[in-house]
Amino acid sequence: MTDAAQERSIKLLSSDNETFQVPRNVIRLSNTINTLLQDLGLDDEEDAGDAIPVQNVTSTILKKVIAWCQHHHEDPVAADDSDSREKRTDDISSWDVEFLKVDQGTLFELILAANYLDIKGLLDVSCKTVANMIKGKSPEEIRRTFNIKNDFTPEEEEQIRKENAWCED
Amino acid sequence: MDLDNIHHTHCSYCINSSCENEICIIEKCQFCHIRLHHCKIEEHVAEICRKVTVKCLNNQFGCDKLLCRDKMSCHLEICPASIVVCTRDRSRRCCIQSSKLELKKLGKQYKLNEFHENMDFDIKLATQDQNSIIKSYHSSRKMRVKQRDPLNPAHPLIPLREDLFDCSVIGREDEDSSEDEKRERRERIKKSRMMFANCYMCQIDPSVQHLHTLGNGSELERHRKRRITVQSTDPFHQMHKLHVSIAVENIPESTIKGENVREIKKGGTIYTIKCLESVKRKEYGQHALSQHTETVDQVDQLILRCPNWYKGCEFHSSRIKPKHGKILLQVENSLITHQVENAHLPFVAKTSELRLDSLPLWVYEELSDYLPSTSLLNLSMVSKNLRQNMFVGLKNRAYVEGSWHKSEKNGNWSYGSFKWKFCKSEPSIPMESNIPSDLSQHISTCEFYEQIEHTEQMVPIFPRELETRIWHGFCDFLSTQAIRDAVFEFE
Repeated sequence: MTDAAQERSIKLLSSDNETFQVPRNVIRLSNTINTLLQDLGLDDEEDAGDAIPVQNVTSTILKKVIAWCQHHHEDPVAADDSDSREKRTDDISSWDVEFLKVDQGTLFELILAANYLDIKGLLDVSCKTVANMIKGKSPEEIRRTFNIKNDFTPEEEEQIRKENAWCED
Repeated sequence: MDLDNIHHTHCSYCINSSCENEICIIEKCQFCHIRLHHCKIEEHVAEICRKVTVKCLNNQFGCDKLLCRDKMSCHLEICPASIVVCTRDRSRRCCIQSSKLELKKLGKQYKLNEFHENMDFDIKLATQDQNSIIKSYHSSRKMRVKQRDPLNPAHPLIPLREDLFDCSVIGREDEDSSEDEKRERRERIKKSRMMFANCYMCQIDPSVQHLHTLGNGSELERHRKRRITVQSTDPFHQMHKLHVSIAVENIPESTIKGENVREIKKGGTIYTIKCLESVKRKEYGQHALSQHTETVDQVDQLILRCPNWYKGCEFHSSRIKPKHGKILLQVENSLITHQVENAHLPFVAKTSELRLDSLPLWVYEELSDYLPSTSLLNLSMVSKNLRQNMFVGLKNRAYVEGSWHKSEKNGNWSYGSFKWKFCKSEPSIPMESNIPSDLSQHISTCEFYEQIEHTEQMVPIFPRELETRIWHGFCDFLSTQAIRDAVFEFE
């Protein structure tokens, strides 16, 4: 890829038909778009051409995703630490903490969008945020935090809790 | 020659892969393509072939995985049916002797202590343990006595085993277990007043034939004066409605018997509470550390109380603390968990289409990378939908346990159904040591500190033989003087 190709911008079309201009090296973070551009040979074209439709993502979410990519596109590539089964959740950068201070609906939308656009960094950091909200909370506290209704009957609840009963002959 | 015969005489020893024996021809295994005599193929596929798909070795214990035989060793490490039962225990002592009676009374009424938020970890733990003791007293005395064992001679292991065929009525008004104990005590006293009750040989070795030592010292014993100290629970335990001491006792099983005997003679009881949780073998280390070693066993380091705590001072500091967040005891599931400091509290749960319990399955999988098993357990108890999603999406993190059923016909026990659960384990919490300087600050201003003022005039204390010493010294002086005078005169 030449420098010129890096600097040119790509048009993205959200599901509600809003167009966004994104620099090529920013959208590089999205594996989906990156591969699309490479495979279709669109990198070589001088003209930006048609906008790429991003069907599953609304304009508000796409705006946030692009903002995240813009802040992180110069980050060094993180080493893959998939060997440890449970990963750390206390290493979220303060910018990301501020960035992810959104309502839960948006947060879940961001997870879905990050997965659709295959942006590993954003997916990781948003999952970590949700995990931190769940960690150390009792079922009742989780219900309160996420506004979920308890649809177990008291008997069922007791049953689930008591399943560990030790029986004797 | 027939096939059986050729197998014994030729094939058993033949290692030639291009053997041209015509009676038992060479064939290829259809899975791994190894060349073998026809008579060996069946056994090869059933027992050896590495490429054949087989059921997991733990199939009878509930693992329903089908896999290639050469993947078995990798799978067994994480097999959901590979579980251990945790046998870690901790003990509790009554505050004072009469606490036992109080606990019994509470047990009969099934009156459990209530938990409230912001309870300190050690008090919450003690309250939880006390509640399980109270629950054990709710069952009939007959059942409790039945479950005693040599290691726990006074009170059976907690939690009590559920007796499916126990018909004795629980908590009846006229049943008083202390009544039973009183009767036993009367009988013991009666026995001790018998003619040869104090025979020395009977106590040492009753099996030896001997002449009894005559006379009974029990009457004398009765007339001996005893000093009775009135015991009362200290204000701290009273404040928190605790009848067991907040100090966690760890008594190894090898000494517990001896310890208990001494306690019983004094009239107290040690209550031993065992964990008995099933844990995935791979996560057992984490379970033991997070639920026992690094939390319960270090409770006196995590919560370092003011020296005046027994007077009712609530102040506490710590020698070690988690690097971030706090350690919590969740009473609902009786598990110990680490809560990270939640800086993201301003979240508002808007009514949106996307909610935690209705996300695509892959999201749970992605989230589970960052969540310990305790959180998965809690999530699985939030709502029906979420529970189903958790067990479908995260089956690889759960474990399976069979529940035993007794057959009606012959009374044999067998696995009836299998239940999938998440275990109570968490990775080690990063800790840091803390210098409890705030405690030093506090002590100088502690309102429970009672300064001792000495109002009496101080009297110097001399050794007892001071007078004699002075007299001897004076005599010595006189005699030297006399000798000197004599010598002087002589010269």
